[in-house]
Amino acid sequence: MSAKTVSGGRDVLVERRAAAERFRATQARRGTLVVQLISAPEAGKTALLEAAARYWDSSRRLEDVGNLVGPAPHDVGQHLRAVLLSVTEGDDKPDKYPKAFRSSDVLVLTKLDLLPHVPFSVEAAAADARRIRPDLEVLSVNALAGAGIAAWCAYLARRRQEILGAVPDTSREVRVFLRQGRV
Amino acid sequence: MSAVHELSLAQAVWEQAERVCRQHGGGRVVTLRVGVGDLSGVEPDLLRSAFDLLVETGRTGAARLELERSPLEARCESWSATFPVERFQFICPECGGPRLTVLQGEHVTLQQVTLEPAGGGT
Repeated sequence: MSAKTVSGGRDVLVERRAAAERFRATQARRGTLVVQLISAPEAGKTALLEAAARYWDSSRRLEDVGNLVGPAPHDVGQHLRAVLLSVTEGDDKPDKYPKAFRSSDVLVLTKLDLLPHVPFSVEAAAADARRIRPDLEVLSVNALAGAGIAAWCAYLARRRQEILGAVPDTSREVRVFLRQGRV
Repeated sequence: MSAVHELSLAQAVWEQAERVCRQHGGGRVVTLRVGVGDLSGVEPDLLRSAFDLLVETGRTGAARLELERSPLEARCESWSATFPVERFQFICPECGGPRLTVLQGEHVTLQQVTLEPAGGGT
């Protein structure tokens, strides 16, 4: 018998994506918004998380699920993905790491207080990122001083309403996955 | 640094090839052709090294991995034209429209498997 060839373009991670989809649906039914934060190390993921926790005080439960280190954004079953870019990293990051920006819903520029000291153009970074992801929302924060945190929390609350819709807010919980790597 | 990710990916590639093999009457996988999307986040060289690790375990027999680039391609939803996405600019080059559907280049896909049916051989 001779060899035979079978063709077809099958996504090799289709089962993993299905598992992520199940997790997403389960969390949505519970009323939990799952947010993934991705960035290069030290861009300020934890600071952003802590600032949001301070802002919400005890009105919402904010759970930090943990930190992953990996080469590219994975679907962990999140409802929203935020990519953080600190102004000290340079405004050419979107062009260098398009995957992170293409797959994110919102770009959060961090360490805005350092802007006067670095050659970073907020406009250029936002424009480059939007060529990669035209509907990307862009926010700016200085998490240590709390600047921009109200807008970040309002963004999360709005998206929670849009994504989870009429699901009763029983858990009042936002789960956050942190991920750092080549961004 | 990212070997863990690529190793699990290599395993997923192999498991899918084995599944295709079973669906077509079993036997032995001779070659797997895998397309690595330009925006899959996967480095072909690392996927190759990870597959070599699988080969060392003996699980894959003499199967040969062929890797090829899968360039980004999208369709503009404004007028249904299909075009290659150049330099990660996700905007229609003709009409400037931002509403696109990515057709390929975002995933790692098993494109072709060559099988030697059970009981076969040369």
